[in-house]
Amino acid sequence: LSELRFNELRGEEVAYAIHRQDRTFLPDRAHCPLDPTHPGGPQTEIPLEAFEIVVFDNRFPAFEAPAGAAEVVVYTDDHEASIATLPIGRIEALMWVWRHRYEELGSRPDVECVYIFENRGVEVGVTLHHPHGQIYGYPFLPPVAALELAADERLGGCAPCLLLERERADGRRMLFENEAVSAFVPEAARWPYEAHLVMRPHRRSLLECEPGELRGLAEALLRLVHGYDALFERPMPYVMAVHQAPTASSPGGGHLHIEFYPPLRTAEKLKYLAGSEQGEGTFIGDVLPEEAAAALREAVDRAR
Amino acid sequence: MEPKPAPAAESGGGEVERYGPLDLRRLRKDDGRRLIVYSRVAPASPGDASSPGGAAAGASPEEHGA
Repeated sequence: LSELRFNELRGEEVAYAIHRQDRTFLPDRAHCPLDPTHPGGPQTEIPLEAFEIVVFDNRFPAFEAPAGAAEVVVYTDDHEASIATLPIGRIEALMWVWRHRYEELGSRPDVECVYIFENRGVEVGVTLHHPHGQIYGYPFLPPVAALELAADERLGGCAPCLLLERERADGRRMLFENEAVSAFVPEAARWPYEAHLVMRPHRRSLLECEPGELRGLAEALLRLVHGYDALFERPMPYVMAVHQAPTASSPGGGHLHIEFYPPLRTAEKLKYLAGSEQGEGTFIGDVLPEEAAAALREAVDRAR
Repeated sequence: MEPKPAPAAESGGGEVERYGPLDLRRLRKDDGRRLIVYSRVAPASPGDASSPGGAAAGASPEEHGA
């Protein structure tokens, strides 16, 4: 089991999962644990010859019952695919899988926040290339979720709703919209090409979305990832963070949105979290969000 | 703080459940970990060349040692 310790100086929990030190690390192509299991071949994590989407308990969990959860979401049985090459129908199905996991994990008494995410690219620490994401069920309210609730308090309403209203009124950082979702580079982006997909109707979580809205979210997600890959004409590494209402038994708060944190500041240069970011929590930006948005808009259009 | 409702009971044995447009089957891996297999109920669109949904839906957990 992992061990939680509270870092008093930072006011935050730190999870120690020392068994993860031995997790599978960039295995060769023949030994991908997320591939289907073929007759006569090695047994993988998935004992099926073919599949669309599977979810399973992480073999090396950062959290597990009775103190949280850690799951792996495999998007496809095609090792060579990526989220960008999957058809819209598969991404839409993925939205339903996310919804299902949010509902089930969120109903557990030991899960206070369901966090769905994807690490894409070795630049952000991917250890398996097969297209997949992860889900953590935190047994406590993590700091970012708490900060978003605090932003609601500070702004006197739903912060993502209010910030979206501001972005739409300004317009300079907007990327695109569809019937359900708005995409933009936030005014105070922390990463050079950070972008957010925000549900335009107030939806606290995937559970509150209509089927057509889930379709809209899938379309927006795919469109943004295509744009990212077109930006530097290479698969864009990123952390994709799905933010929803905490599932702790407290009322209110939360607005479904997906934040993308790509670490590249140019096609070859990484933005590192260095002295100011790590030591004092202040990001120093290399690209103005308005310029990033213009470049991303052009890339999104080019990718269509 | 209000208590949460009890989590939904898990089915076993790989029975098919329906969730929105998805079928799902709950399996157990040899080491006891849970594995859920999702497939779309509606046939894959012609453009969805990567979908092996039929194969997944037809695969038996027993056949593959789950």
